[in-house]
Amino acid sequence: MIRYLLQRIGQALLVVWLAYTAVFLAVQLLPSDPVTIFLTADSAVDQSAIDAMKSQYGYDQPC
Amino acid sequence: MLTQYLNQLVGLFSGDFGYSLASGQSVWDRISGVAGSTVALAGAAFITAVLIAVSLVGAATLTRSTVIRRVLVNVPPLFAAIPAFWLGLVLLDLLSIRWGVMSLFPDGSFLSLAVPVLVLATVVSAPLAQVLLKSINHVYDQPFIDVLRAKGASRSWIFFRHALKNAAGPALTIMGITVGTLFAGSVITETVFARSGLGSVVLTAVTTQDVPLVQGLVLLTASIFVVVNLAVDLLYPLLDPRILTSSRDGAPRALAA
Repeated sequence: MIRYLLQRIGQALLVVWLAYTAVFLAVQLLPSDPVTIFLTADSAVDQSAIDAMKSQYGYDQPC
Repeated sequence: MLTQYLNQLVGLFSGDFGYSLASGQSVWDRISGVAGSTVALAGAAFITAVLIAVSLVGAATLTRSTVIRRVLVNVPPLFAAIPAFWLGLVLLDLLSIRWGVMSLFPDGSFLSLAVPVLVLATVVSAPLAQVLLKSINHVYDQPFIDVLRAKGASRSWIFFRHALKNAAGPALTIMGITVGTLFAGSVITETVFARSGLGSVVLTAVTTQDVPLVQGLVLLTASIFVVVNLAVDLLYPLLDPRILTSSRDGAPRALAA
């Protein structure tokens, strides 16, 4: 019973981790980054504003 | 890529789900603020769906009239064919605009919760009822039902005490899967009935391209799915103790004998 339980919980955690990693990779594969996409969605924005928001949200970390 | 990924992953373990680009609010606050309403809707719809499925299958099995049985058996495929948004719009048109018995917007009255719940439950109950009907028919073909009949057990006693428990396995599997349908359906239902909840958050997150918020929502959905399927896996042995003793690799074997 304990073995069955641990096996199931392990599988569950693995699925959540894989789902999150897949989403992260999908975002990385975008030709741009989330902040630029968000800010330039409906109007042109100053590059310095984009850079400031990128560093605030941690999207300026090395890729 | 690695630094960002590790930062996010470490953040997750310390309960930091990132911040919404649109509002600057933390993703956790944004989601947990409205999740309650969606969980209430989805939970009530799930219970209603199970009740609808069991009563449909029960009525179809217990009725002595072939005509009624034929009609009832065809109700689940009909439910499966009805899109949730269409049913919601039709009910909204009839109840609020033509008859005026229900408010167009959620006002806390019984109907304003019951109608969305019913719409969602109808869609979710369809696969449940179809699978339950199939496995009930399978159980009724087995010899132990004849033994019970020979012993003089009543039809409803056989159905509720013996057949339903033996047929519940496949239906339980479907229940785990319908959770996805349930949450996708509640996004639509909430939008149609102008309810606040995860649905409106998903909608705005996607339309404003708020990536951190979408990531948080994906994580939440995956977690709910996994937790429910874990619960289903843990319920199997209660229904059929043979699963624990007969399978070494942990995979539940087919319940059909």
